[in-house]
Amino acid sequence: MKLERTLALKNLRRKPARTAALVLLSAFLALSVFGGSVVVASLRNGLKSYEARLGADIVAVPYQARTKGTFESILLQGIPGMFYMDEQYYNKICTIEGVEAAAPQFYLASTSAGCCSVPVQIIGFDPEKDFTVQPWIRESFALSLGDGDIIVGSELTVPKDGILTFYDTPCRIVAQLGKTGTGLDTAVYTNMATIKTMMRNAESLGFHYLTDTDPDHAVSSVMIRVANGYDVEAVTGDINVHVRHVEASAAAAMLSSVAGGLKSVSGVIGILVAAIWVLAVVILAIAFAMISHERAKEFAVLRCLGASRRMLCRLLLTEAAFAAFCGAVLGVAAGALIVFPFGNAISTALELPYLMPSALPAAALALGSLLLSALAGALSAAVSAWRVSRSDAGLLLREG
Amino acid sequence: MNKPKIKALDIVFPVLSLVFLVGILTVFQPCGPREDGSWMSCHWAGRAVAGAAGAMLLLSVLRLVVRAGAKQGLDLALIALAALALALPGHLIGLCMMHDMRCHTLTAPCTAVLSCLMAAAAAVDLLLSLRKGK
Repeated sequence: MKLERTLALKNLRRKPARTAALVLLSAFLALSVFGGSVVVASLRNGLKSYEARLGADIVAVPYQARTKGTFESILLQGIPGMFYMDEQYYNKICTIEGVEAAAPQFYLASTSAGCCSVPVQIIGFDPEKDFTVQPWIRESFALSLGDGDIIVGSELTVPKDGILTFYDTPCRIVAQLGKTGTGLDTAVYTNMATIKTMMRNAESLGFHYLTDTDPDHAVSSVMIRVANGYDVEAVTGDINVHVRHVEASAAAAMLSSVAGGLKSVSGVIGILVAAIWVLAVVILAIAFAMISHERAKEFAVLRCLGASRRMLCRLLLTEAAFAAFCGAVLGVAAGALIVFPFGNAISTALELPYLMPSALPAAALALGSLLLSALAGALSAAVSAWRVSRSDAGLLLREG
Repeated sequence: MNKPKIKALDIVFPVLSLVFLVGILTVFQPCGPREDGSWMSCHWAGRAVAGAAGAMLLLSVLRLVVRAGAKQGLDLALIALAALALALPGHLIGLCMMHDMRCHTLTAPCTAVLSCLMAAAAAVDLLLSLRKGK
């Protein structure tokens, strides 16, 4: 076996152009398999996270917010939105049969986040009624939010002094949430008292976001939990019928539209990766067939020198395995250099929840891609190796 | 005096540095100015990276005309400059607050990738020349 390894390495070194072509092909294969699998895994993680973070059975927003798709833009892309309805609609929703809990939220967009020219979404919630935000805030912050306290999403850089000022309202950052892969990663969370203070300060600064509603009696959305034994679709229908100017949507319907988009993107990536894998195996098989044909006399001489058929077979397979492995390592490294640093760019381009796998699953994906690429190399060389081992050395040498 | 021999790897350095310099000034430049015309810190991080890329280009061109011993020194300088360029956006000079801004999604990753490639190429060249020297 040692002799085959030495011979294989020398063969690869002596033909640098041929070796480079084989390595590059394997690298391209590994790059597409690793890159594609990380993107698909990130999309799947993103959907799970989105599902977990939504946390309500029904979401009710003012009618104009639903028609513009504003609420989903906040959740998916982190595009700040501001829409308001009178608190009376929240009270009406609470009286609908089947509504077990209803939590109002108030949205405000900053004009500038202190350092950036883009607005930040500020979400105010009522700690006593909320059941959607607090469960995952508790993962990072166990105490209750005081007035002037804020919690920021994972995609916001916390300033050294821990203070962010919105509409002349200095706020103390008490915690930073874990990454969710959704638009909520760039949001800021606070209690109702703080966000209403910001709203009043915005008014005094000349930003009149609310013209026909009193800010103290306005809400942006209502997150609803349906009581056991009630059908979510039926309760959603009841709200839409009995509470005018409000559009209620079942969370499952919102999730299914995101899942649909994710399924199609994942499907396209899956088909592309499979096509590239098959194509690379075919090209490698043709390359090995040509190489073994070109080296037929070399193999015949080796046979005359006492090399067994099995040894020739192993020699060609070892060469293929070395080239495929080196290519796979290069491909996985190149893939890691693309998918990990550019994760935010991919997420922004796809406009879908995108949560990259942590170190261990990413390492497993890299190992899987390495094995798959090495397997492709071995598979494509197998037929050529079998043919070489079956060829008649005497006949080949006599043919000249 | 023998003319220094130019290998394929020697060409990689000026090409990478040029891509780095032109890229940081155009394709992957940081965020634009605020509405009031003032610049965010990522702009200055971009300027500093451009400076490092310019220095890399100068050293890369210099590598083409010097002899083997001096090349090893220039390789070390390129590795140090690549490490500096990698650390500039986000570590030595802050970027924007929101991570979905251009400086986070494009400038920092492109700088990281090009710095890593530059450092890897210089390290490979250094190792090869040291092995050859033995």
